[in-house]
Amino acid sequence: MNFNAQHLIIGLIQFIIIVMLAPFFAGFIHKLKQRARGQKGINIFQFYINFNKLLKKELVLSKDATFISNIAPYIVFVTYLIILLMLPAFYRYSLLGISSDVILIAYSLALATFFMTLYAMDHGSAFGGLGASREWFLTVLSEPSLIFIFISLAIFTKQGRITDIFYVIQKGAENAFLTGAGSSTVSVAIPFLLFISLFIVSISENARIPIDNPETHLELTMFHEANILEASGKHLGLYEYGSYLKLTVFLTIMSLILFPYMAVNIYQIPLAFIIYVLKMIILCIFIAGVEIVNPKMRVFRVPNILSVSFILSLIAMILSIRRF
Amino acid sequence: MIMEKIAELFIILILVSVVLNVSSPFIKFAIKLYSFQSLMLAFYILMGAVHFNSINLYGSFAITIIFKVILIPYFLFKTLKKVKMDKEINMYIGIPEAVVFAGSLTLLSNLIAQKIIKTGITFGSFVFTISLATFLIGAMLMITRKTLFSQIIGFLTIDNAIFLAANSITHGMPLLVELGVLFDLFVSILILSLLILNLRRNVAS
Amino acid sequence: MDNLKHKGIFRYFFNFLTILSAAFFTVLSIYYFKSEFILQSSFINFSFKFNALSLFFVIFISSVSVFISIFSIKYGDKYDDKPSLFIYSFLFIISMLILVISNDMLTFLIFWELMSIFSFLLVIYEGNEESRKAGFLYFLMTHIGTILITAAFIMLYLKTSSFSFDYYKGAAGIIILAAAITGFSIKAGIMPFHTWLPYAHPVAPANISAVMSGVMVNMAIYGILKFLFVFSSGSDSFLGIVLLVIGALSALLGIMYAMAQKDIKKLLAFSTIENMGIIFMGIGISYWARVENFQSLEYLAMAAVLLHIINHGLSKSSLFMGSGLIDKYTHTRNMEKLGGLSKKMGQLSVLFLIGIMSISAMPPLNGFLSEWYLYISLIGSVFTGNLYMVYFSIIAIALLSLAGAAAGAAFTKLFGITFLGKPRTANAENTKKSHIIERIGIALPVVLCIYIGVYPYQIISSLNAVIFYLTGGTVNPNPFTAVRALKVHSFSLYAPLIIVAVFAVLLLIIFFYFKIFASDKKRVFETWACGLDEKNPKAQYSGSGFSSSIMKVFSSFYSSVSEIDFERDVKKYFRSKSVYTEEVNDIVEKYIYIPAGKLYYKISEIFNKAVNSANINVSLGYLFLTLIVCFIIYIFIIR
Repeated sequence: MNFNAQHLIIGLIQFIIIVMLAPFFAGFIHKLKQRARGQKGINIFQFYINFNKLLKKELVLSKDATFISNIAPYIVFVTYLIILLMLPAFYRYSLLGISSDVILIAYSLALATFFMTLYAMDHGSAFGGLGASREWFLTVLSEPSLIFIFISLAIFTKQGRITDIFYVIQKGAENAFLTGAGSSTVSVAIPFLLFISLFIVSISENARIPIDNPETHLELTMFHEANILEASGKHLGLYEYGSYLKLTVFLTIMSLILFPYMAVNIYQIPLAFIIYVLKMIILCIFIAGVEIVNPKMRVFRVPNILSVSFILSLIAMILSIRRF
Repeated sequence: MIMEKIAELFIILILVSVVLNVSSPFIKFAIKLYSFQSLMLAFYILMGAVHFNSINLYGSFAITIIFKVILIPYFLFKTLKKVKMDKEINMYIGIPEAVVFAGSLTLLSNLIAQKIIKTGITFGSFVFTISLATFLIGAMLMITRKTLFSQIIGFLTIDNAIFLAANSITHGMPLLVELGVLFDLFVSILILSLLILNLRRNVAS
Repeated sequence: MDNLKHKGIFRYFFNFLTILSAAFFTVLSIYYFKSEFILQSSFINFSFKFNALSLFFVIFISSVSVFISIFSIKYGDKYDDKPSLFIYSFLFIISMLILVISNDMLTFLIFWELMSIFSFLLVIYEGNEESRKAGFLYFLMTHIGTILITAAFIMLYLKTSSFSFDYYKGAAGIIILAAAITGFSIKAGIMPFHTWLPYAHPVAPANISAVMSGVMVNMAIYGILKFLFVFSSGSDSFLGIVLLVIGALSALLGIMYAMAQKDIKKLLAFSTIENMGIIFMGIGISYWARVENFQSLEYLAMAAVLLHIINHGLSKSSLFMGSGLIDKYTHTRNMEKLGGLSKKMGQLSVLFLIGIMSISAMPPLNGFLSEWYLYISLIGSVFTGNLYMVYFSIIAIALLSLAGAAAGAAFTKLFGITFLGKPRTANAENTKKSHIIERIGIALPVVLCIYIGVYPYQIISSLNAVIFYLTGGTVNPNPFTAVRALKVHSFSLYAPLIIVAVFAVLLLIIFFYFKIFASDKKRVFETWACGLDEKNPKAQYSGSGFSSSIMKVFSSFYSSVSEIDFERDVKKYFRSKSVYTEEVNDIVEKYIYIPAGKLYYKISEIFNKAVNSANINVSLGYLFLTLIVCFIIYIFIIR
């Protein structure tokens, strides 16, 4: 790994672009859902406006709040930023690519959950405890699948860093396409399995409909929303933006599994960027479709679907070890 | 090469549909999944047919489509409509446990397949693992579920698994044998449907 | 008044003595590194040797016990009435320190037994019903372990006809190893033998629990390392797989039970079982790789083991000390009666939070580092392509990842219920601030946790000497290239320093962005309670409520009994009170230990009837029979 100045600069630009785009993707999904339900729908850039508005608002803290309330929103937000810094979206060398270990990413997500749930329990409200309990319920079920997905990718490509993993897949696909020769890192089946599995995990981690519905404020249906119910002002802004970032993290990983194309030099960047945005939009449409078609699921039926995701990633891992 | 990779996708989808079947208690969904699974099997056979250019396999593809994708699910749906069953309630083990169990069966079948079969014999690199896993999970479905419908689905899954294994290694059985097997299967499904209906009429009133 | 002044003298004396002797032992073992000496007495020779492994353990034991002694200089003042605590704990620590430098089996066994006895005396120190019960169980289990260890040593003696460890190299076969590992895993609290641990660790005073959980269980790990990597003849790779699987199972079950606990110290005790499981997994991989000749994997897993011993020791002792402070100032260890402690005990809650983050493996703290090493070793053992190891390591990855997530849940529960929210009872509300010396005792290991987590290069390069002693190789001290030694070139990197630096920079950027663009207005107001005017702190989520949904999904791991008790004759919506009781039982205890106890009881009853008759002739007959049997054994078997 060489500390090339060009890589660092483009990595930084890539990071800034993804962070700026994150609310757009979330807003796009929201808009699609609303249009499909026959509503007029929000402005596609509404979430940027919301964030700005929340920053201008007054911060209301509970009487019972402790230091956790003052640090948790920042830690959650910055953790997601760190994960985004590790991900290669359309340029092969991300800024933190040197330390973008897959297990680190999975555990960083757990760190964010940890602080968000502590924040929820900080205010002494019954909703907070409920949200924290349910959030961990989901995390305990989805974290193993996430780690399995990542380790399957690592075993499949024999690489540990997420930048290298997708680069190896990309190289293999390019070779197979250009020369028609197969290699061990070319497969349609294994990425497909991982894609389905990751899709289920991202629906559960990002509070999407069959599992959670953040649009309602009914305690029976709340998962994610109950955690940040007491947040206001800039804290709420950070949490909301953090959830867009998390969605972007998952969508980016999915887009890379779906079609790994990353620019390796400066001339490929425009094409890679266009492909990236296209993939993301397709995935957004896909997620919006799933959200429209399905009703909200009963809480204790969630393990059924998450166990399927776990087992699919297990099967992917089993099939990728057949290679050596 | 490309054909083989796409064929792998189809076999994976067979296993995915079986795992989904384990995870869902709804019978209608299970029949749909069976139909889908047979379709994937048919596509796999088609890929093999294109790859090996074998007429037997083309024939096999056509019969699979006719019998397994259309006729058997059609009869099952018809019976289901008459008995008005919605979902499986009686299961010996819970769904998440069953799914995890299915996963460990896959692990086991990969171990067995690695011991028995050398890679490179079959068309598609892990067909034998998948067919063995499908076989075992089908058997598990028959064991853990109580209603006859789910057991029929399990039975059909086992049949698909055997069909898959046979087609992957032999590059197509003689058409006559295949036709006979499928016809047997079809008749047995008819008999089972009749049985379900009669049982309903006589016992549940 | 005079009496009161006199009271603390034992406490000060023995705590300072502990600190001094810890320092003495450290200096001794550094100064006399790689040399040995023999202490001759009239009937027995004690021989000692200082090697890298014992140096590592001496430094580990002495540093943790120094922290704990600093802590108990002030914390111990509630035990001044019965100063035997300080004497016992001093002797307990000393016997552990001598244990790890002993170089022959008699010395080892004597100090092992002394360690067990002093810890037993400390377990029953409080003298109430609960501690006596726990003490009995501990005494029983630990002696079964000692019997097995002694048996292993005797077999070694028969094989080599020497007491000295120097002659045992490569002598232990599979039976000896199995006996020793079983014996040591009773001490370590590994899953089928863990039953004593969650009873014995919580009932002791908190500073002793910290020593027991943070240090004493690691003595068992020391024994296992000694047997597997020094004494073993190195031919049975399946033993490694067995250790891996057992370790993974106890990691998962340990943390699952931890989640169900209400008692803070019991939760921590179960978490010790989890961490011992993680260490066992590392040992299993390392031993397997040693036998199967995958050198780099062996070194890597050994690094994971040693790092995890340190990390667990530091964070667990700090957490136990913290729980002791909670107990001291609120007079309860039950989470359901606490809450909102963060207000009054602000600094303690920060320290506790860091300890919790470390033990639940949150990056960038040290707990994550060792878990990361373990994950990489597991992936590495998948890469070896060995038919069985591949599958077992996949299963282990599954169990470990589940345990990791569950640890997060369990410790969120611990911190959230105890320190956050509103105080649930008056005890929690009227708590006082802890003393500064107590907090310093907790802060030292916590600071080390952060240091190891953020800048691990130093500690890993120091550990390399130990890894070299045990396995004959080293890992690259730089986590940048830690795994380059694996079969796969440049597998993965983890650079905590860079991550933390970037984290800080991003925080600064956000801070300045908010300074410019965000409003500074802030208001403190009551928590919204659905418009109700209710101030009842019981309306918060309870600890058992927090974990109930997870426990429901994994209900096959528990055998829990819960019931709701209410006044039957009152209509449903007008009940003035209803009582909910829940009891979570250990399945191992319920399905193995209790039936075994009953069986034992039954058999002994039969024997009792047969043997203990009133007739003196029959008794004499038994004596005679015993004599004859002894003669026969002597003639035909021993000769």
